[in-house]
Amino acid sequence: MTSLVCQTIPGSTKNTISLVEKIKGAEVHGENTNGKIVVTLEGDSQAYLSESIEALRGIEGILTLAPVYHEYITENHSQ
Amino acid sequence: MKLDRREFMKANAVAAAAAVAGICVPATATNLITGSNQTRLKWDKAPCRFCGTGCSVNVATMDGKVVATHGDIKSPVNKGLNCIKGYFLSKIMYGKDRLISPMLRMKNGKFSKDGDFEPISWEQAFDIMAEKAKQTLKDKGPTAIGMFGSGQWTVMEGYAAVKLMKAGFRSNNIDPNARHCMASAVGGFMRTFGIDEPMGCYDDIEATDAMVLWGSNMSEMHPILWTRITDRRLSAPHVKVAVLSTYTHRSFDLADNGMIFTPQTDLAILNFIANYIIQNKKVNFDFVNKHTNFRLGNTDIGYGLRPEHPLEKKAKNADKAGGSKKINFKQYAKFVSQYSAESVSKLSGVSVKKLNELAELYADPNKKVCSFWTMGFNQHTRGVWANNLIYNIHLLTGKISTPGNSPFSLTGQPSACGTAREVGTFSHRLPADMVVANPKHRKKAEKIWGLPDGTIPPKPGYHAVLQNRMLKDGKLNFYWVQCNNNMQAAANIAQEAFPGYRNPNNFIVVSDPYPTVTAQAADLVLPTAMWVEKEGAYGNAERRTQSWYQMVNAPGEARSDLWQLVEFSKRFTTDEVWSKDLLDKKPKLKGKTLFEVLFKDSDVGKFPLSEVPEERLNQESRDFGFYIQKGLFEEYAQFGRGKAHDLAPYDRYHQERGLRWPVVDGKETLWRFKEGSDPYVKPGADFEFYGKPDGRAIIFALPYEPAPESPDEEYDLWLSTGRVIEHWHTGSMTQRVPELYKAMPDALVYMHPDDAKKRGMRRGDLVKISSRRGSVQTRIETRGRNQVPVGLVFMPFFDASRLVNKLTLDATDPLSKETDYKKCAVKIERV
Repeated sequence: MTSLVCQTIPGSTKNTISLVEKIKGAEVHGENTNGKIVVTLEGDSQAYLSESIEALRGIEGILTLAPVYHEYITENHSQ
Repeated sequence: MKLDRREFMKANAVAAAAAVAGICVPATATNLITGSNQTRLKWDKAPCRFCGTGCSVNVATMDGKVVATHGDIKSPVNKGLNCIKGYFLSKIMYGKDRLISPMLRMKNGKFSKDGDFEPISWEQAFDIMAEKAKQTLKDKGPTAIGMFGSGQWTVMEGYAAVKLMKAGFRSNNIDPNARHCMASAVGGFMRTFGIDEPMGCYDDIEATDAMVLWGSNMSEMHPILWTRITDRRLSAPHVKVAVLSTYTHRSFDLADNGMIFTPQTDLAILNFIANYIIQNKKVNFDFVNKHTNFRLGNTDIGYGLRPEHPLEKKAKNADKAGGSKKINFKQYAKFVSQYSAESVSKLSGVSVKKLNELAELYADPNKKVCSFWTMGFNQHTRGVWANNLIYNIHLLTGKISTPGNSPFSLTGQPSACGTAREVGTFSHRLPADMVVANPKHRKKAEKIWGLPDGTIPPKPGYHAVLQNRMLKDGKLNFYWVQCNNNMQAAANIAQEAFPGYRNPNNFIVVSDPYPTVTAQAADLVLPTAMWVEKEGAYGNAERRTQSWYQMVNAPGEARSDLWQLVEFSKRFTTDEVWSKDLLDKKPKLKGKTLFEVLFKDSDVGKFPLSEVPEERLNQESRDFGFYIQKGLFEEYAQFGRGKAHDLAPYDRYHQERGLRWPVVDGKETLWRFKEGSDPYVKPGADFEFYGKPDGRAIIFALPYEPAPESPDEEYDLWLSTGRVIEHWHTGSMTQRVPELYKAMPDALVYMHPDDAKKRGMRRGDLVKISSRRGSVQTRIETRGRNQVPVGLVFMPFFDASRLVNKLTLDATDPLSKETDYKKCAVKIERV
């Protein structure tokens, strides 16, 4: 699980959010008027998270990306 | 409301992100509970270990390990944010192959240059080092001893190293890896202003109307500053961003005016802008007449290659590269008049329209402008010129030293400014911008150090590139490398670096936390404590000095560079390293160890261990018996106080998120050289460039000159090397963070699809890249973050498994001695 703050190109924020949400395990939790959004990524391996961050970086509407928090838990702890 | 573990974790993650972004999120997601583990975490602050931005992070430790970090919300630099590298700081110390014991190449229980590495004790390590150093001193004298250090050393480590080398061993052969990174910037500052480091600060970003990037991909290399630039651009619609590079990268996403130019033609574009300002009558004569002088610099200065190279023999002014003569404005105007929009457009490949648009940003008297640059300018055989030429533009328009008007040289390493430049760990320098060639400067250093007159040798030592050449030629025989990975980072390594390390007459010591390419080429490897495993201070690009405490112990036998240097000094007495004549000038120093003379009995030893609280870690101070970090810092600060480099008292830095020097009467300085914001400017002067005797900065007339090597029929492509966001330089730390490694495991070569097609190649193909110096294999990338133009390829240098620096040319700027890693000629064939 990791969370990031992304700066989208204002005006294309809605469109960008829909592209972000197409990434498996990605969720958008909030946005402000300047086009900043909070994204969480969930996955079952470190490799998957790395790939998802790379996929986020590849979205054209995203100008900057700052990871803020991450934590790993093993599955039996999640219940 | 009950949250399960997964939801709780998500809530934490969302709340933290929302807080730094200033975004409101639904209440369920911010309902934080303090977990039992969290109450056991101990938090403290430290500057980030990576680039020169100088972000502050909060570091959590538990059970003797760093377990978490996050951006420091109190930091004026990063305001709670982290880039992806800084984000994974907590993991850099815990790579599986961390070195925990000294290792010596041995055969049959004894040192052997062709032996295999075997673990030994510190005692044995210092034994062999002392034996080899003493033998070298006896056989050849101090000039055969050398050290290669770092802009990632702490301020105290750099200062201790300078003192040990220049005073203790009386050798000026000490240079930092900042030679590869910031030497041209230093040269530019000293030549134009007579004093090093930027006049402005990061606050310029929020105050400016236009930002221009020259040879800098801030989006990947200074991501947190890029966030501030993005915020400024998006929150103030009148703000414009221009980006210049030799290929398209992620910073172009924000550019209003993006320009791709042919390598080396930045020099012509800079002169064109000056010409545009003059032709359009936008010169700020009020400023220019009062605060500047004009000079014509020597041209045809060579390329810093070996003297027997045909290009050096041909160069008219290779031995007078720094020369210049006084001219007036009219002569300068005539000089730049040859750089018309049309001719420069033809040379550079940038359209006349784009060039004019760029020049108008600078020329418009109602627009405040910031220029940012890094390695595109500095790693350039005319790097000092490029720095001089950008200052010309800001000086002609008077757009300097005021909020939002800022020619800003960005820094590569966390303490290239604090340690390499301010402490003066370069082969020609002393602390606070002083130089070994100046007798007054040497005298001042000898006085502060309590040493006899004549201790410091007057001749500058071997710089980084020369050190490798001298190792190969057998003139430098005892060599200690700390805190860098030069066998991967130096240019032309197969021909000019590796042979020197393996020369049987040389003994090479490498201190590193990990078995880097350089460590593997050494004879003795010393395991090193890193980052918060020691107390230290760094200085960032905006003159901000930041300190931190030791928070955890290093694993196994690993010890800091500082401990290694100071402990080694115990192995030498003054009689062994200094001449009788010198000792006769201060007989009381006879028979003492270098440890006593340079550290314990000097001002360095003044602060008792009782100043370190019992519960605080401090391996070095407890071992040596005094508060050594404070002693080194305070002795070093004597050099700059009252000399426009004033540092605050050491203890204050532990209370602050850094302070920008000069710190006068307890207050930091945001804009230098401007009355009202800089206490060193005389009342009534308005501006004063006090680094120069007459208070005037210099506008230099300098031409475009071609690169030493450019594509031809056989080697038909330009090669540019550089970095990526995931990895720090040679990747010795970031390649050990699983998340970063997986995100960018291998260095690919970025190529234009048409160039690939022309050669019958496709994305993903394995290819061989060759230059006149060597070859490497990797795969082709034709898409992705870097879009190169036809005729140029880009390959990053972080990957130890494919060393791109086997290809690069060891040509340097003759003024700064900094290598040009951005231009050489290669060919690419399918494997």
